[in-house]
Amino acid sequence: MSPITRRTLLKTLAGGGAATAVSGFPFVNRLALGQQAIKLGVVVPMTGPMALEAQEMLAATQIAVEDVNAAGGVMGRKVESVIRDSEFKPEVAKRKATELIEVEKAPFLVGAIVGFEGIAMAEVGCKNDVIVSFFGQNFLTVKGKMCKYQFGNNLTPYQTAAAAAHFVDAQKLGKKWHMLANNYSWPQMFERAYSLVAKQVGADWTGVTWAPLGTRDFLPFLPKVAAAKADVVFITTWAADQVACAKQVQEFGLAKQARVIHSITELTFAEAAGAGVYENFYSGMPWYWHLKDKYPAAKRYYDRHMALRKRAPSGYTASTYSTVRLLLETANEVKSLETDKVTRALEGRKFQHLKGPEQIRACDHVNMQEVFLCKGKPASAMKDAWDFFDIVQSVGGETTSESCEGEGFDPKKPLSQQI
Amino acid sequence: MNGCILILVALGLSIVFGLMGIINFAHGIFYMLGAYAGWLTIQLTGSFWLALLTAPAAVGLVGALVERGVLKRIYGTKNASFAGVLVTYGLAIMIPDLVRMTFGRPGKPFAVPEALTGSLFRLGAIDVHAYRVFILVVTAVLMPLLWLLLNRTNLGLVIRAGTSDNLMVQLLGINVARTWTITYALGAALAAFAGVITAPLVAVAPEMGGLVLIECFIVTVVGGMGTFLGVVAGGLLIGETLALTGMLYDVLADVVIYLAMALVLLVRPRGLFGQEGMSEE
Repeated sequence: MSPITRRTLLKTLAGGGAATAVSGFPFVNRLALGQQAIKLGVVVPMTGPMALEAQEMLAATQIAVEDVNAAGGVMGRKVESVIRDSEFKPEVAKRKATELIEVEKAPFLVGAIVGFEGIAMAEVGCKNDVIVSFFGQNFLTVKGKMCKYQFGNNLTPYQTAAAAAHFVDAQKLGKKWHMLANNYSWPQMFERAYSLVAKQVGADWTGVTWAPLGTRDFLPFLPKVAAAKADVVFITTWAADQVACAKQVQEFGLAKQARVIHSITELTFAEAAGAGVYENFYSGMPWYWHLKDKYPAAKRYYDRHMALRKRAPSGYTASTYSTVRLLLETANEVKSLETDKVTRALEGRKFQHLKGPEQIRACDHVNMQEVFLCKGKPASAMKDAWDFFDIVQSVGGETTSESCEGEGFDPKKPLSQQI
Repeated sequence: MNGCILILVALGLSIVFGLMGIINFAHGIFYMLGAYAGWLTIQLTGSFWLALLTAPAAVGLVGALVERGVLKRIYGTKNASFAGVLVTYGLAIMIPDLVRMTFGRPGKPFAVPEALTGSLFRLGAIDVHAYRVFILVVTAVLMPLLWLLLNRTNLGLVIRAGTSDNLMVQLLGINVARTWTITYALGAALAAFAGVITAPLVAVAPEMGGLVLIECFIVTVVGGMGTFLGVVAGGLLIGETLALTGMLYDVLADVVIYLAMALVLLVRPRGLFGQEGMSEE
């Protein structure tokens, strides 16, 4: 074999260069960009009162990203989560979201557990034409308060309330309804939904007993609830308020005179209250871990979450998983990271992840999905540390969602063509 | 129930302010730590009654360590009051996060002790439960005992004298530093006791001290900073106002205690039982 001369080497390199130039840039691009991961911007309150919920949601995000990467990533590129702490402050959430877009060049933002974080992130995303998808309740479906790039697979307050109300109607639990709720904007949205559904199904809506956010002693409010002589009392409280309320409603014996339904609950609240406190209460959830026995995908998710966090996943973590996976899978399907393209593909998209079929309604970006109404078990019937409830019924689809006209949108047009 | 809890927590806050001149933002964490210490005791021994003793003792010790280890360093420094606010506020942020890291998940189940479950009698539309009567009785027993401690013992005499004129007490050769430590620990223990007795009715969570602190500040302002009687009156007034508003006109429950505070301050700026000159430096 003749040795390679300097002239031969130069010829070979020149030929290779010419071939690359002729074949175009994709080869070069693949070399240069193919290994570069797509950054998924995540903003959650890793410090503050929601820190542990945030850790649960980060685990769900990690599982979803791993699933997408295992299936080939997005356009052949790996996805990498870039996580920022909102510190449970709207101004910090805004700053971190901006940083993820401007510095990290993240094409998508996900996160936010509570409303003020969601509003802050949405403002940044919409200003920069970046899709923002929420982990917490998707409550911004009111025209003028949202932009076309907002999504979220979790329930809306209307869906949550309507599901509980339709459940009551279907189970014939009673026609006289009342609500006990914390007095701030989120539960106030439930009041509207309950009163509307009451009208639809011919129930008597007796109004709301409002307790301040952070109420320690609910007892003074319970006589008013009892005086309403309702067949059904919906309770719309969250976190520590819900735990205190559940304990004191049980102490007061309200469940003996009315059906008590928590509009929505999380597994963590039942754990904090203790075994048996939710006994005989009904509670709405976007997902419950017993679904692992029905859907193999839910079983896989449950097993992986258990391995990561050593505890059963909650409804909100399942929504988080679904939110992340849907966004990335959609981008992969349309082979684009362009906001408008992915937005259009998400509108009307049907999918099935951890429960029955779901669909993002095009006209308002609300996820048409099942809501699970579960009944609290007595302590003696619990099979393990997380076995607080049994699913009684799933309520879902269009029946639980407000019409697009009702929200002020045109039902025939995708939201991206309306705003 | 609210009034009793507010009195117990606010009393420590008020005494610490009266004696040490510190607006103690860390006080709410002792209430929270009390609930956690109570939970831990029950996990280890199964006894709620033991928790009533161990939690205040343990948290009182934590209070003493905080006073000796942290607050002592700012006494006598320039802007000590302001530094006190900053330091205690920092502790109020840091310690709940430490609790989260130590105890993990939010919320710890804490049941009403078996002997105190169930209703005792009916009052109007409400079943009065044994546990709520227990809270009332315990507070009613503790208050005279604390009054005796503050008014009929040497320690109480020094605390009261220090509240009136701290410098003079020091000039008389009394070991004020020890009194401050004891007072701070006593305040922490009282808050912890309130934390244990509230725990069966609420969520035991790291953030539980934040809200109670705001209400206790209102109680001390309404009652008069640094006065025993003021705290008792303020606690009862604010607790009952909250309860009655909840019963009669719930939509006002959010703002009523602030309105009550504004009204009292307009009529009597030093609070119901406050002394002239207190906190006016």
